[in-house]
Amino acid sequence: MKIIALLSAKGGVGKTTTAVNLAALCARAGKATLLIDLDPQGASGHLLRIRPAEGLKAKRFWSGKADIDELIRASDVEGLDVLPAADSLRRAEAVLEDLDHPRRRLVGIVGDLTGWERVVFDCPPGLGLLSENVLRAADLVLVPVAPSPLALRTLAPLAALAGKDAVKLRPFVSMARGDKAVVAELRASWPNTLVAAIPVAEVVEESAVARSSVALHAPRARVAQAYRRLHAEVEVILAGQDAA
Amino acid sequence: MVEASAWTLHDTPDHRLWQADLALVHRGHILALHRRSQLSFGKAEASQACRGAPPPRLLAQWPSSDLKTALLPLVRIRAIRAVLACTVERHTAILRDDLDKTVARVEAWLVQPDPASCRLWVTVEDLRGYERERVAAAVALVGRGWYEAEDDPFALFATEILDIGQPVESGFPDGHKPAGQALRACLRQALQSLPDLEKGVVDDIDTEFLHQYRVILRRARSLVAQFRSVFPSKRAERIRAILGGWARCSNSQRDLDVWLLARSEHEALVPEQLRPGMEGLFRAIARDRAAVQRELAARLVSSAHRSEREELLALLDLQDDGPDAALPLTELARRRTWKTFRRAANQASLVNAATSSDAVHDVRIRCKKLRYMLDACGRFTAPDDHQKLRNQLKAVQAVLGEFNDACLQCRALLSRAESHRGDPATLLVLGALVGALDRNRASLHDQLLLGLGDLASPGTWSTYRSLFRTKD
Repeated sequence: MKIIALLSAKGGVGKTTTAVNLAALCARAGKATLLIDLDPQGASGHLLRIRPAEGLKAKRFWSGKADIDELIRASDVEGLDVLPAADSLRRAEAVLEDLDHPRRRLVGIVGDLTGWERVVFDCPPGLGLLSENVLRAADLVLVPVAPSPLALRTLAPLAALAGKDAVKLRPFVSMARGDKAVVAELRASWPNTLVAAIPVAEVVEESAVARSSVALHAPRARVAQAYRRLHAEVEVILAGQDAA
Repeated sequence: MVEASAWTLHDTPDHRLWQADLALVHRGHILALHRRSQLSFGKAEASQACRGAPPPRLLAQWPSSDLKTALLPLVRIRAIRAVLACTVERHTAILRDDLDKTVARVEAWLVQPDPASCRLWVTVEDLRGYERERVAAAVALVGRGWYEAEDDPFALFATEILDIGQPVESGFPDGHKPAGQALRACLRQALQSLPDLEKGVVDDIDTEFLHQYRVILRRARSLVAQFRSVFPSKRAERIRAILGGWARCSNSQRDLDVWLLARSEHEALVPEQLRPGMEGLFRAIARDRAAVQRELAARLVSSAHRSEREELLALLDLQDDGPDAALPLTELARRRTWKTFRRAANQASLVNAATSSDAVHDVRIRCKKLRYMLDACGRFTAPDDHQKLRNQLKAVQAVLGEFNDACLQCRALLSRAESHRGDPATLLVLGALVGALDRNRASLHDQLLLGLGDLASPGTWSTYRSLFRTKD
């Protein structure tokens, strides 16, 4: 099982869209995939038409006592299951502060999961304990970076928070509009930035309205092709980890 | 969404494939062998293209393919025929909730053997997290009289239509039953398997039908002889007489079948320059075989044969039993196996280089009886012991069979000589064959004495004694 996280300190940079598309592409590629929505807004579940997990309580979830199996739902994409978010997850930071080993709770929770080859985390924005948990638990942390100077500035604090897990961080250009100078700066500062760049596209909004992934809703769109390239690059990195 | 296709299920007449949990299905242009449980969805074990016409009736006539290779070791009777044809329609539907999210996937299978009848099965796929919705959908559909399939729908349908039971097992399943009851059940089971085989003999599909038919008759007759004390003596005699009569009337055809089946082996025994003469000999054998097959077929479909069958079943239904009917089967079986072994071993010990072929034939018959006892009562002894004794006996029987067949075939050839008096080429072949078979018989003598010596050895006596000898 390989764990891929979509993480960023900034909101509105394409974490959820990427998480849903990447998870759908993993499933389409024949890997049993679980998308875990850690963002209390529940946008991933919404895109896949899955209701929030009403019974999920933050304290039970983060203390490892929640029966996750009971809350997981099959999506309409074959091979893709979803653990939808719950409103109670808003209290994640407060709950984690009260627990022992507050930075390693997620490692134990995902350690109990079996039956999936890929697990994708969709995370809320921020640089708190939840993010630290994600950094510890994931094998690969994808960081969507919108090509703006402000977005670039969020990467350094994230790397600092990650500490020795910073090697897992792989930024990628998201919502690209042709801002070549900013992209060049990103690649210069962060040489491990992925080659795939996700362009901004109306079809992404249309897919959200249709409550589907772009990759499946409009597979011929340029942005869908970009997601396929991103998925291919991710698989190469994961294969490299296995080989190492 | 609807998908419709024509399916034809093929099998051997004794339903070997189906009983082995397999299904050979002709669908579209593909003939494929599937695991029964994965008939509709699973990957085929083996397949071959089959356009237009159905496959040839005899497996041997099929072109080489993975499918043929997969089938050959599975089938005893090598004829393959269509046993069920129907149209299969697969309808799929999706149930969604108010968010337009799929909560259940439903498949309905409409299986129609003819326009006037059909079966409808429904499967509702398990979707993780939507168990409640799945159950609700299934309950609603089943409530409307549709079946909810837990197995492959086509396989369920075929099972219902074909009414194929489990393979008939030879031997006694339970040693604790009273011997009379157990023997009657065993004989009824044997009789139950005969009509299908008789049909194959009458239709002359494959020589293996007759062979299996005769094996079952011999086993049944031998068991009646071994356990005759469980029946009143007159009834035991009558049962044996009927079974013996059925076996006897098929002797000629089986002998001729053996000749025809082993034609290439016999050709190899004859010098090349004489081989053209084989044609006349085998033409005559084929002609004789066709004549005796017609006779046998007529007999098997006759009212006299039907009456005998009914009489036999009625005899097995009678309840007034013989003196040993109430004994536990194991006890009687041990006693009889021990006795049969003693006779076989004593006879075997008397065989030497000067023993006549008729005396060797008697030993062969005795060994067959012992083998039937071991096969029938195999479950009453430890598997290792049983296997060891069976293997030893099987090895002796193989040499005895070859030796005895060579003698009988020499006699059969010599008796043919008269009818080929004006045909020197065939006479030369007869002479060459008799010579070769006789040399073959003589070469087996040492091997035969060795095997019989092993059967009659103190070690074998000791094993049989410890396993089968009873106190009285």
